[in-house]
Amino acid sequence: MFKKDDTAHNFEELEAVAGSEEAETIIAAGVRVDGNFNSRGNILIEGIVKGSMKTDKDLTIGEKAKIYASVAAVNVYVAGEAQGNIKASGRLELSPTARVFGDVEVKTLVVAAGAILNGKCAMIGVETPAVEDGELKEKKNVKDKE
Amino acid sequence: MRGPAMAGKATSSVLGRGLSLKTFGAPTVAPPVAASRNWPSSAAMERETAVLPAVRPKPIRVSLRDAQEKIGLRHVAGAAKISAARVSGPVHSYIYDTFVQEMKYLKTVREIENRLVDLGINGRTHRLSCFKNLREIVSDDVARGIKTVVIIGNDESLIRVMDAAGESGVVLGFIPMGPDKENQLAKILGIGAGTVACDILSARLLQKIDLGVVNGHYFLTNIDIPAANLFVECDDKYKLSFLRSADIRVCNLLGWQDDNGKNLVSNPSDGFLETVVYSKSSGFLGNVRELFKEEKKSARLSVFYNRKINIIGNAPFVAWVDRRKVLNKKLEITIAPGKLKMIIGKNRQI
Repeated sequence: MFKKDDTAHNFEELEAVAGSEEAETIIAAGVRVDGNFNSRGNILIEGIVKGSMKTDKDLTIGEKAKIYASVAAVNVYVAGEAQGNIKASGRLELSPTARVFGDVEVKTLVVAAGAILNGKCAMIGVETPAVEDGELKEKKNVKDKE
Repeated sequence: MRGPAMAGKATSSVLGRGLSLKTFGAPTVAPPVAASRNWPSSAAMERETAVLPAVRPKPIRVSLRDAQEKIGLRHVAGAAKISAARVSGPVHSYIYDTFVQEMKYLKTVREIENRLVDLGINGRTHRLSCFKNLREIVSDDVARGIKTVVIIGNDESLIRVMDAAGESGVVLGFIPMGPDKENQLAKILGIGAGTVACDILSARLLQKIDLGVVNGHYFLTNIDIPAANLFVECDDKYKLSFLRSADIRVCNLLGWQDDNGKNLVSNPSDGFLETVVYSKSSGFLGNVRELFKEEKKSARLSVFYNRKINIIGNAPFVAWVDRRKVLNKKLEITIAPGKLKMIIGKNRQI
């Protein structure tokens, strides 16, 4: 009953799965990528990636995926584990199962309850005020003491 | 210098006394100038030549398709304006595969030939046999000025001629013959069977198609590598390693219909090869999960887009290149973008 012969597998089954017309790079479970990975299209990761990863479109890190890489994309959706800096020129979304260990630079950040984010967070396109009132006061106090 | 009169004397001496040329009526021997009174002298001939206007050969009118091909355009209105282009001989060459010469295809072949004549695109014909080299036929045709080589056969025939056509830069046409399952490429290219293909040839919709190159040899469709302990390097930038055993397929032109009616056709004009990795389920537990669909099928399929792939094995491994078995320790795979110019149909899937 369970004796399904994998060796007899042909690629016809794959075509049923990958019938979508969108060109998308997929790194499935059981596959490990080492090096600098650049792509123009969407990327879906379910496997392991080490190095760096860059795309002009969206990046999805699946629940079982493990990323040990710096990542740059437009929109990033994280459900798995990512160790490294993430730069998203659009939106970064962390699902409840997400675990991010690294600095994050994003335009829009969405963090679900239960997600882990350990690192610095910077928002793109937001100007930091030149001199804050608190800092001015602190400086004045220091001068008075001197 | 030996003149015609001397030649006459020599002949009579050979024939002997009492015999003349008239007796034997030898037409091949030119009569002496003195004997033929009606012949004009050389001076008179020169005069006539000077008086007569120079006869120029009439320009051969070519069809719009041929003219477009001549000047490298696809969409030009007004065939009459371009008809000044002169073509010395036929621009089409038709190569019949061996199995097409069987009796059961005779009727179809006749219909195709008639249709080609009706459309005005008939040309040289070659019938393949075990003594004829396809590469030589194509190179000979190209040397004769033929611009379009049409193969009449099935997928296997197209794959065979692709190598030679890719190198020579000639436009390749295809007329599929035989059962549908042996003509999957024709379906992808949108080419119907029989006389429909002749109309597609006549319409002449051209597309440049990439060819894959593996260890210096072209391939059109794909490379299949069954599960083996392999090391894959992509674009000299990253490496792939597999935690489970995995089948690898490098696709250039591929497509068929599955049970669900969904198609995957890799784009053969994008300048990329698609590397598809199928990670197999791990052991008994994996099979159970697969049975109950706990493990998503999509998670087992990896797809990469590359221009250069190096596949290295510790030992020689088996690979199927265009359905031909190859045993090698290393495969260097690259792509030759737009190498093959093909005539395709409107209903193409690419």
